[in-house]
Amino acid sequence: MKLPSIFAAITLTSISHSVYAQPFSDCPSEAYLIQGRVAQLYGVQLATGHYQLLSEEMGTTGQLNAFAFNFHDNYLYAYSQEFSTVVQIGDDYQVTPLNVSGIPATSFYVGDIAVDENVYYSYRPGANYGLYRLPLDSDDPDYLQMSKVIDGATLNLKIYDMAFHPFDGAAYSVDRNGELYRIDVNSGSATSLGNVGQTGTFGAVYFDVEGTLYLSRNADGYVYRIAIDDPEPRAELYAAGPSSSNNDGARCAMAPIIGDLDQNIDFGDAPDSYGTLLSSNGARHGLLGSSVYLGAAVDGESDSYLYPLSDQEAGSADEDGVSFITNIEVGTKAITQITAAGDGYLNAWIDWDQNGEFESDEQIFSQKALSQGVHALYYDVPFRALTGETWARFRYSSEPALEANGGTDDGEVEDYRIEISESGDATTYYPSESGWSTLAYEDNWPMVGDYDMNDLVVYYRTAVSTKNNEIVRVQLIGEVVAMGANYANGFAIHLPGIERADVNEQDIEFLINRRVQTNSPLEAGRPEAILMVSDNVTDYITPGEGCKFHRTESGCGSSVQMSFSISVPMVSGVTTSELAAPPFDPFIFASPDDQVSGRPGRSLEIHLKNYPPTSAFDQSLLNQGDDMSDSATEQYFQTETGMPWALHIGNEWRYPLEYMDIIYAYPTFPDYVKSAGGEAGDWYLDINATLRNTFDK
Amino acid sequence: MFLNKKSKYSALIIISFFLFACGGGGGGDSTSQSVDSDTVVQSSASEETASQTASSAVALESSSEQVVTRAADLSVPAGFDFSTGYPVYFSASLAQRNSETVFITLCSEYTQTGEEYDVDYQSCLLKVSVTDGFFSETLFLTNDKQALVAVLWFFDGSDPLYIPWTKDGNQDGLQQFSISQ
Repeated sequence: MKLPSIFAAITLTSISHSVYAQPFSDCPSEAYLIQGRVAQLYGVQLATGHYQLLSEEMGTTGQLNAFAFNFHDNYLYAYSQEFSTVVQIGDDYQVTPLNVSGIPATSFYVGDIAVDENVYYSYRPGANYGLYRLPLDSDDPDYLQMSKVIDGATLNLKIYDMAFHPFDGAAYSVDRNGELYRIDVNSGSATSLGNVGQTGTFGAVYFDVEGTLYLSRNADGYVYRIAIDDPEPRAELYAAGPSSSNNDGARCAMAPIIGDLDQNIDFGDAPDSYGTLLSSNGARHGLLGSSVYLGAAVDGESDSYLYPLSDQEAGSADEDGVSFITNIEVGTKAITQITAAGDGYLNAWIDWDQNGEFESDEQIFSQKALSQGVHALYYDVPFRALTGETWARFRYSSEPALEANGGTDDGEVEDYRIEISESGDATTYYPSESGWSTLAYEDNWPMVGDYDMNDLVVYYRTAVSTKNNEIVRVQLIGEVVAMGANYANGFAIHLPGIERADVNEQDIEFLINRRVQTNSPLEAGRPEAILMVSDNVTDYITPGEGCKFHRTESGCGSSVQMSFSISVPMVSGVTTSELAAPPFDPFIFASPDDQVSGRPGRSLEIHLKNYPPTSAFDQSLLNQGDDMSDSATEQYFQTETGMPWALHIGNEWRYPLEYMDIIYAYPTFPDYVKSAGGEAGDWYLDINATLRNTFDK
Repeated sequence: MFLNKKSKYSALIIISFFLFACGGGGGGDSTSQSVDSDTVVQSSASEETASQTASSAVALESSSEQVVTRAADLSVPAGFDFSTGYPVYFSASLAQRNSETVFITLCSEYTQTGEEYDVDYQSCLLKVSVTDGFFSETLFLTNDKQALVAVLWFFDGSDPLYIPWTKDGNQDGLQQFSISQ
């Protein structure tokens, strides 16, 4: 790095506090803002508008303007009213006046330093002034000699700051009428690129490394961004920042708008069509110094964990401030419970027409003032709302007026994937709306297994929506949490009582790992409704490193690798009495991909005890090995002593470790069995487990 | 019983399939699958766990004085389905409110302090808007859930009504939760 010979230019008045000034250590993503008649320096996170005072005493009693960050030496520069010259500012935030020759008898409030040359350019309109260049490279023959490029009558712009593009060599600014200019500093000419639609005094102008221009308006502190390459460039509201009558900004144009390591911003996680990613001016809230949020917690990210990823699963589980108390039914009122931390304002939207955007007429709460605490809030669901899955966004902040996207310097955004239903729907959940039951399989059928009950373990819940005693929709949701098997198994759910033709197949929504699947899960060629989650779960699951199985051995606690969600709409006329009780009939089957074991593939099914096999099953397999099924008495998938190959358990069960017989993980299980359920009905709870013999999830 | 039934597969395939499957539940390699499940339990467990296994085996003596050392030795009636839940018949008669919509939530996780309820609305088993004054549905609770709270929401702005319910331990038949307003 070349450092200018600043010491030769240091005046006696500044030497005491500037001699040890060092350059900034890098090209920061933070912007700098100077405000006040006695200059004060702020650091600004442009993405959120969050700002903090860096120095209220900069070694000058006057204003600083024409503020610039020098990419070539990592110092800040500005024009000082007090010293009537250009000053250098290091990491101690103290000014060091430079001994500049040729400086005109005026003050500058517009300036920046080029990126492709180490030259400070300053501007003042008027015939007696103009655009000036000041080389800052000590090797330059014109070092610290200011010279005029063009007079300010020829280059006559009503601008208050300018910023150099990171790559194209030109400076840019927006005048008070909203005209965007590209300024060629070599020729001293300016080209209008169009009106950006916002007027005012834009006292601070910045670039980021992507070439996006940012403007800060003095009157209200709003930060706008402009895509300068757009044929019709528009100023898009980006964040709410500090306002000031005296405002000048500087930023390293080679820095991204948020540093990779900056985790101090909360983003939403709805699809990006809603405005979610930073690059899409996504909804975002600065967390530094923030004391308002939704629920019990908020955490930050460097950018959105866009759906199908999830903010809830990134960092801490912080999506906890909104509960949908009622169904959201077309043409009715609905109730949402908001848990507010700190006093603030709620703004919220629901994409009623499912067009992938939050529009202004889709705002359900606007600048709703809330105090700290729990609030049940009513809102209207319009008749035009479409039924089905859509997205909602809730923003809580001390800033009242927030759009559905854009940044602000405190609060939290929570996005939710929600279901809009018809008026009068009833929804029953099993075991509850967010709870899990557990399906645990031994896959050795028809031979008795080792009863570790973890060859395949699925956490599972269901929801059934009905209206006037007809089934509208069945939802099947699960996570494959363990696979202690060498066999490749498929997993499917049969809906007993429902025929295949009862299902409105074209409107099924089928997600694996939150990603939409294009294939229909409704098994073809069967008279009954069978939803095929996967014909080979090993397609999605691999053992942990150094592990033989997936999440069944001590120390093999990899994350869950497979989740599913199937929404199964019915044609009209399917009554609630036709469908069996939850969990319906989930079963595993030999994967057709399994070429090793000699198992026959799809025709080998393993069901919960006394659930009959489906029409896909090869009936000749019954009563082989240890199986003692008796179709005449409707007794299936049990041994000679009545023991099963599969269990359905009423909680998020801690299943046994690999090879660990269930009776050693759950010592009261034998009491439950021998009493045929009369005793130890809660044998499966953690408090009744020998926990060290179970898998610690 | 083994291999004595008619099969559509060749004897060779059946034998190889069952031999591979024998003993390990598909849950191990050929080495572990060749030993019996007692040995598997003890050999795969830590010393501490193995000790626990031995003591548990004593505690698990059956009435016939035989030690139950593995689940496969347990015996249960053929009709027992291993259910860990029970049905509850829920009904709401809202005759006094039959001209207005009443929204009912039925949830299992809540705390009650005096007249105050703090309900976790993520734990609901039922959400329904009742427009004609009556609603009924059979719900399925897991054995560890012994209590529910129904919350009635009125769209005229009046306060919600909380109605708790606990399982009737003396009721051998169908559990019932009836609301009359």
